[in-house]
Amino acid sequence: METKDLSRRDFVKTTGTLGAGLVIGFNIPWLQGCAGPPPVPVEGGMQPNAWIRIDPAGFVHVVYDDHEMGQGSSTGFLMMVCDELEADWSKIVWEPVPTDPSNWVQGISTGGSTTIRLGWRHARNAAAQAREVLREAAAQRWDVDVSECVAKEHKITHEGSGQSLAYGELAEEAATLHVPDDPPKKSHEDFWLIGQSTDRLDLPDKVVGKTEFGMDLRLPGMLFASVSRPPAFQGGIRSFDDTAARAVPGVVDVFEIEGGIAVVATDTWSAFKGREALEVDWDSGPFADQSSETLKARGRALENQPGDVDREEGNFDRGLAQAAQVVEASYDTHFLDHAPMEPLNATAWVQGDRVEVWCPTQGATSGQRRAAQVAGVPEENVVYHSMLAGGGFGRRLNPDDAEFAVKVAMKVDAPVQVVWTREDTFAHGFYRPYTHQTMKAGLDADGWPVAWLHRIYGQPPRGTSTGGARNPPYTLPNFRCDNHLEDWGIPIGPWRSVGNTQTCFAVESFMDECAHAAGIDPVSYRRRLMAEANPRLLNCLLMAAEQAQFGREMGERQGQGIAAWTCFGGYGAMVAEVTVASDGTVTVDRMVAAMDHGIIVNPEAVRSQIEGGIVLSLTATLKAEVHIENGAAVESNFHDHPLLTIQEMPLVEVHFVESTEDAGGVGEPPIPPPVPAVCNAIFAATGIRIRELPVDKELLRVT
Amino acid sequence: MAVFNLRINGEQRSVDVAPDMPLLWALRDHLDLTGTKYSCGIAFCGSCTVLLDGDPIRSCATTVESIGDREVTTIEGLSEEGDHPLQRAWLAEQTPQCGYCHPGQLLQAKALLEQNPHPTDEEIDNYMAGNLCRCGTYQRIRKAIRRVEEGRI
Repeated sequence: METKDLSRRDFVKTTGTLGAGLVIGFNIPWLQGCAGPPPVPVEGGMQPNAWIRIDPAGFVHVVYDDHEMGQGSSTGFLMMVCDELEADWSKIVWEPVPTDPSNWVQGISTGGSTTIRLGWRHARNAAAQAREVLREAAAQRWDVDVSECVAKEHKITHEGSGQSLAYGELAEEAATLHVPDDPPKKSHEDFWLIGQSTDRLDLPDKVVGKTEFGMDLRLPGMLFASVSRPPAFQGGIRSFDDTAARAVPGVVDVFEIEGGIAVVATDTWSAFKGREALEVDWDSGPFADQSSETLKARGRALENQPGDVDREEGNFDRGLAQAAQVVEASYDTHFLDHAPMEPLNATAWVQGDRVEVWCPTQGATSGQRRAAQVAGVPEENVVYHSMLAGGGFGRRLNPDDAEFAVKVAMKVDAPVQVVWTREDTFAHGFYRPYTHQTMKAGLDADGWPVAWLHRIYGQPPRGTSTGGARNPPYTLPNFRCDNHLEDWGIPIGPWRSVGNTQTCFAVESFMDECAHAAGIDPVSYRRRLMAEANPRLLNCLLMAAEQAQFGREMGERQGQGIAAWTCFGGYGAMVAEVTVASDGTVTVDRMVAAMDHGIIVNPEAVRSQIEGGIVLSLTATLKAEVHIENGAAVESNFHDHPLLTIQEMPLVEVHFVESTEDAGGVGEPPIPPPVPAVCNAIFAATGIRIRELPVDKELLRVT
Repeated sequence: MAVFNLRINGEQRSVDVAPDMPLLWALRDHLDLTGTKYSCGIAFCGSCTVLLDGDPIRSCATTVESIGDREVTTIEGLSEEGDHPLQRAWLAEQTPQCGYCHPGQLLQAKALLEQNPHPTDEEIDNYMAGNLCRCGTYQRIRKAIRRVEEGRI
């Protein structure tokens, strides 16, 4: 695979020059509310942030700015271009993320399940533009009408004569022609690649160990470093003794940087050993009295006090006054770490006022900016290489990996790779925030909601704590969502599906409680409330219930639970089937997912995302938690922050609702439903409601 | 520091490192074999799995001086052409997502099938349980192993 790295500047420069071939620039707009910095307003015409270039040899180079951290959307993006262009899949070239984000028309950042759903219209439009000018070029060469020129299989064929010209042969001529703004796009019936499971381009290297993740970068003369940082959030260093650290063989230097003490060595192990030998007197920082327990108490203390209104429709209090019955429950979600398998790391090389950074990242723009700030150089002086990442899940949107690499590299006369230990990665996370959520519903005499309150205690920014709460997928009269958001000083951040795992747990558990209070089965109850509010989600709900035979007879201490949610342009309902042992251990036996992602570009890759999303979600439901004590994270590694293992992997069945809607988001939508689906199944199996995560098996013990 | 002569992927390699350096770091930082991954450093996740005379070990918790003349197999040595049946099965099932844990998963699976060519589902799960995957590719790992076990590759 050719990987010549072309910056936007190179592209603009090469457009129209001999040998470049046909270049189509296009803009994939930034989506309001999604990760990353907003675009810089520009004057004049369209400012491209993506290009398709067909070179004279016929290779189709696709440049766009999304990172690959395992989600597989790169392959899907190229499939969209290939299908619309009528190109040969083997001639599509996946180009790297550009290395100068400051020269980019908008922030380079990958999150919010946006690669495919934003690319859907814009990438196909650009591919159609290329296709149309190639047809026009052929028509001119043959002096025939363009309507007689058919684009197929990487060439233009003249219908009458049967003669044909390959795309590469036409690229130079096509580059001189007028590009139509809005050429006709293919109808979904004519897709031959979109919708066909296609092998991911990144996988062959991944099974032979050739993939170069950020931590695998090797440069001549490079050094390795480990940074010891205060365990407490915003803690400090009172004093330290580096005598023993310097005595460790392989250690070449020890020095203080802002926010830590760096140990630089000839290899990673020696850096780790030197760092362990440091004797440091830490300052415990301004949040030393902060803990998970204080937050829980605070959330409970505020649960009956009105918060800042996020959204209100009708009048909750008046609605409640008319209710025949009131249902009320509170739910807690816990702090969680992203825990990608590749610990955080970055490599930096500072030479005078030039900085080069290599980082497995989700956010090149913020990484470049932070690197420039730290080094005190203009952003364009930072060359920022986005490396493949061993997982992200939102963690790698934060540029602290690049930040620490540059801080160390500024004092080292060589490229230096700063490797975070797993313990560093847990201690200095940007966690999914704790929430305490109070739900209150007034039901009429038939059991249907006439008033609905969702009150969330969490930490700002609002979306990170409360995402999804203001627009639940139901018709709920006299609806009120309000929040108490307080800054606890604990670093929080977007965690795959951003807010929705917390709020879906509360809403979908509580929906079950209301159905139970009304004496109506959970599918029928949701069905009526969802019918008008969200027909697409209703399709998922009914499909999941049917595929799982929801309501069928289950064994002793076995149960089914259902939940549905929509976020990031995808819709999903899931049925969980669980067995609860007499010691309280919960085994998830089967998960049935019914998903609507619009037109599905690469079905097998989407299935894989859903399967994996369910695993991430089950870990959050049943196993993992980060506790905060004394203003610091307690859990430090996989022994006390366990992940789901293959032994606990349920049978996962994924079903797709057939759709001709535009392609939607995939990465995040499967994360929220498993949490309440499992908890509702536990209720069905035991009669016990789970209102705090992760599930406490002691609540379920009978022996 | 001391010089150690190691047999790795059929070749004789020598490294000059601290005797207590875990094999993981000798491979990654001194022998340019970066296919073996660091993730937990406490032998708890399996990302650093390599084979020692065919047996899976956690290279993050195995010192260089303990290796002796035993043959080390890393992901780079699983096959010459990248076409070991397990590698082909892994692709056939489109198994990896981020891929970071999969060198370890593949070597663990190789050891499983060497010792037990026809494992039950439970035996697969038990043998692979120490190899964590945050992306959640377990169902595909099971299917890929089953493919090789059944000769469907």
